[in-house]
Amino acid sequence: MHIPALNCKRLTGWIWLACALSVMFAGSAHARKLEATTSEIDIWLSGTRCESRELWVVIEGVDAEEKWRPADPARDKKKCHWTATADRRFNTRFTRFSLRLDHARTDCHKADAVLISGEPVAKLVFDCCNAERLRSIAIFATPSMPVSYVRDVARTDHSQSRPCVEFRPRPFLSTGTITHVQFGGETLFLQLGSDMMKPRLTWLNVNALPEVLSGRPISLSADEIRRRLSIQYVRGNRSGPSLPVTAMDIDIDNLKELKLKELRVTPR
Amino acid sequence: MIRICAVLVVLFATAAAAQPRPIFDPDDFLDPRPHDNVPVFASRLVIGAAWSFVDDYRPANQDAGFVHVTNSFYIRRLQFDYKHSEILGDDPPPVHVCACDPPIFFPTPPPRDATPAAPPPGSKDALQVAFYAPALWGIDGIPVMMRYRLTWSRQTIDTDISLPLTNEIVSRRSGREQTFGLDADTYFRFRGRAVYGSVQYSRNSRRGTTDDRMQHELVYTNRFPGTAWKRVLFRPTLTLGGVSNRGGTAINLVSPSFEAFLHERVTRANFHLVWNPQITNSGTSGWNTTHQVAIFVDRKLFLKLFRPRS
Repeated sequence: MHIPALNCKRLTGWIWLACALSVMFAGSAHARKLEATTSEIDIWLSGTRCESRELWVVIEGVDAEEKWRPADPARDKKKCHWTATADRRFNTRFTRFSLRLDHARTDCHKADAVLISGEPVAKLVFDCCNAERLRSIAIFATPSMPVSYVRDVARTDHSQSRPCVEFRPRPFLSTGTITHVQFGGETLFLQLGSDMMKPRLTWLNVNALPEVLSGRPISLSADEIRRRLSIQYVRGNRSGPSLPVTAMDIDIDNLKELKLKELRVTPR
Repeated sequence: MIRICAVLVVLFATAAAAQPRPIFDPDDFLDPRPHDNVPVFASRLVIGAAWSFVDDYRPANQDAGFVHVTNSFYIRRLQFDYKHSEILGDDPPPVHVCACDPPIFFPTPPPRDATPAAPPPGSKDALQVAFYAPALWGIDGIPVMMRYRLTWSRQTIDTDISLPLTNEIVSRRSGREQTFGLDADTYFRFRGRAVYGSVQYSRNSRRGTTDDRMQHELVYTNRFPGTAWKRVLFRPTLTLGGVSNRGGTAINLVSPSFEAFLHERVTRANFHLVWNPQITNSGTSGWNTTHQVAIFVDRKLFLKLFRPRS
């Protein structure tokens, strides 16, 4: 029987390539963490301020109280261990979560997928919490118009922490309260006049209102809002510091169109 | 990744890219996000004057007035501009030529290793195309918006050449100066602070004149956060870089700028006061400082947002 000779020298290059690809594939497969699609959330809080009477979970940045998911103390009765169930299934790889406690809010985290009793669960671990005073910001616009907001939440040093944007899907009509605000960990932007929430849009930066940061209420006329927006531009607001004359003219036209008389921002 | 490739392709393929923004050109950056990518057309008039006017890092050695009209069309993430400027100043001295071979022109153009003379006052046209893109990092948060802009500008320079004694015109030269440029916004974080700026590369060539020159510019402008005092806004910038064909050191340009800005509510005009001490180095005269000061007013002529009818 004739056995064809294998010319290994000619195949050396291909063999090396195959080896390299195998190593890369194996490395990537090893590095990839378990991900899962689930609606169950297992929450661990650590730190001296981890205790809370109630706890809510904000999922995918949808920051409306009626959309927050309430968490319950875990069955093991361990301190600062909670469980919650989302109203729909989510993928642990892409979904971001933040918490609302009695005395604080958290940054946004990505979940790790774990198996508990054979079922996939999204596990969240938070260092708790930012010791800054928790505020509620009451908004009142005259005349009646839609008011909404965006919270640009910064990431922390925690390995699961991710920057994220939280927003109110349905605007308030003229008046509303933004709860669980901690200016040290987030930037709060107000949006006026649009029926549609624009999560990628920044407008009036509440963090740039020194009166509100120091706990004093402020009443802004249309011209004062224009001036504050100009200051935002020159200090740099999600673009380089600039004096963008066209953008300023559009702000003036928009405010004129809204016929805004007063925007009252009251921190509590 | 695709965005990185697109930016690199633009950078390398053009290999020539934004005339530094004239001191009187208002900032026309418009983040497309706040107005939902709705098309916008804006037309603007700028009028003012500059003391010790500097044109593209070349001192004009005179004061100048200017009228500047800008027309910008913003659609989605693109911006198209047509800008026309009229620089008003003293006419350059008449150019004489001796009856010798090769001809020698008077006044003698600056030598090759000196800072070139600025083009004579006149009209200049510029076309610009810009692309807005969010920064490639911080995608989960609200990203920083950046602009990448190509500029082409052109100025015609006609020169009458006469004999020194009789002033008889012996020839007319129809020359031009052209600039191709690329201006790319930059953003990074240093020790937790955001650092905003832009890198500009441009190629400026003057042909068909008695002083044909070419210069390449590669500069970085750092835009520091501004501040406000009552209704006046202040913005500092610092430009550093190199301009070719003028001898001296590789980094031969240091150009800080301080701008004060006031919006006047009734007329809706914007008043600008800019002080720009421009420090340049050349092979013949070393480091020199030109204190350019400009005062000008800009106002929109027309502004239209093409919102869809609801």
